[in-house]
Order: sequence, then C-alpha cells, then structure tokens
Amino acid sequence: MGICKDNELIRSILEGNSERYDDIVERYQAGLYRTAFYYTQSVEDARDITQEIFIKAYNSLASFKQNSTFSTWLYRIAVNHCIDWTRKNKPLLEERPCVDHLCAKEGSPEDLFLQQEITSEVHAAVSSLPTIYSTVLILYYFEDFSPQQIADIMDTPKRTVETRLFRGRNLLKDKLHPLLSGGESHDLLSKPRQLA
Amino acid sequence: MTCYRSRDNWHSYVKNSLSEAELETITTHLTQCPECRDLVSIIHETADFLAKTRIIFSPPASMKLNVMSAIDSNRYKKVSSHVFELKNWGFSMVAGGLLLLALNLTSLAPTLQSGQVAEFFDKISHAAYAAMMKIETITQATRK
Repeated sequence: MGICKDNELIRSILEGNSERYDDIVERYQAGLYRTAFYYTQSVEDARDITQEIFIKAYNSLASFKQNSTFSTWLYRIAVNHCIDWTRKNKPLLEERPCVDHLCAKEGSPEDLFLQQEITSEVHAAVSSLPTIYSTVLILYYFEDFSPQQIADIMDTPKRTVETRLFRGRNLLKDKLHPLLSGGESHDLLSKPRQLA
Repeated sequence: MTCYRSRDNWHSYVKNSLSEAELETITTHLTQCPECRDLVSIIHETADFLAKTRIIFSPPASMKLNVMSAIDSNRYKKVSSHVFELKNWGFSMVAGGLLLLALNLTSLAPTLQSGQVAEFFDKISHAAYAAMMKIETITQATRK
C-alpha cells in the first residue's frame, strides 16, 4: 500500500479507524521528540511531552481544518505545549544538557569532545532565551521550517518571524560569546555586524 | 543598516521559500547591495554552525505503543445505525404497551377501588422506568 497523505489518514481516523493514528505517530514522532528536547534539555521529559502532544492532538483531531496542513497544526499544539512546560519548569533549567550520545560520531576524539561541548552550550543558550526567540530559532535552524510555516505555527505575521530570527540570533550570540571565546562559534557569532 | 530592504525576507530567501517574482526581485537587489549580501551571508553561516549542533536521536520504540494504548480508540467511532434503531424500537414498544394498558384500564376500573388505582399506576410507572433503563443500558453496552 502506498504512503497515505496526512489528510487521508486524518479523514480515516475521524471515520472511526483509530488504528491509522499509528501512521501519524510514526511519521512525526522523531521531529516532535527532537523539538521537545530542544525545549526541555532532557530525554525523559522530551519523551513524556511528545506522548502528551500526540494524545492531545488525537483528542482534538475533530477540530483540525483540512484546508491547513496537518504538520503546521500538529506543531502548533507541540510548540504551545512545550512553551507551557517551559513556563512551569524554567527555574529547573540551570544545568547544561548531556548530549554526548546525541551528537554526530565523526572526527577525532578531541573534535568529538569539542563538538559535544559546543552543542551543549548552544542548546543551553537556545533554551534559556525568551520562548518567542527560542521557538523561531529551533523551528528555523534545527527543524528546517520556513518563516511562513513558522508564522502559521505561531500565528504571527511572517515579517515578525523574520525580525525575531535576527533578534534571536543576536541574543544567542550574546549568550555564547563569553562561553565559547576562541572556538568556532566565537568566530562566527561575534562578528561585529549590526543586525536588524 | 541603511538599506531599505534590510528587514526584508532574507530568512525566506535562504530557505528557498519565496515565490518566483519575490526571488527574482531579491536576487537582483543582492547583486547591487553589499549590506544585504552580508545579511544573507550571516544567515548562511549561522545555519551552517547550528546544523553541526543538531542532535541525532530516535524516539524510543515504546513511544508509539504508549500513545496508541493511551488514546481512546472509540472516540471517533460512529454509533452504528442498528443500535439507534434498537433504541427507537424499544421506546416505541414501551410507549405502545403503556397506551394499551391505559386503554384497557377503563375496563378494569369498575373492579378497582380508588386506593388500588393509585397503587396500580405506581407499579406501571416503575415497570416502565425499569424497561427504559434496561434499553439505555443495552444501548450503552452495544456502543462500547
């Protein structure tokens, strides 16, 4: 059987074939799990949140309007859920996440160690930003969404997303500069350019 | 920033998510504006840098099982039409029975005293209520 489009799957589920939701979970679990991790910095919390998002989405499926894309609708639920979680748990996010087992495994041991350090710092810095900035950075740079898709997910104008991406990058640069001076990110993120 | 386009669609441009007309306008502008070329270059460099910090991991196999066991699989199941028919038939039968009893009561009336009539109606009422509840229970059980 060929791969069903999202809308066909949703229609089938709404007609009573709940087992088809299995395909939806399969299709989106990796992306949502990753996104949740960027907010929570914890594998366990990311897992729990992802499951909650899928259950919430299933229970709200009847409110999904088929004239919009399902991924946008699902990510809107996901982002709102993650932001709610962040608001409740932000004070706990003091420690740098352990990403040793989550990074690429290419290069020498020294390179790998350095990359893991940078990755930890970057993730901690991104998750510590105000959520309006961390969300656009996560969706644009880590999850490959376009500004228009982010605008649809966040229900804001595209121009606002463009502006937040510039400001978010500047805030990230400020956070990373004292931590990673001399490293690769120092060269990249501390260029003396005034952005919008 | 002095260029009037400095706040334009540069992130959309980098993601190749512009219409053909927008893309053409911006590409032309970039050939003439070093300031905007710098902006595009910064976005590209940031994207390259952050791409290296992307995490690589798969969700646990239990995730899908947990989700599928947690959802209510009957949530969007339509109640089949024969259940509705059964319910309607049940109500109709009870209503018909009550009507027949009421009609026949006139023939019984002379043999009943006033206190017995009230007691008789009370019994009918209880029997009708019990029948209705039974139909409701059957309908709910069939839905599940």
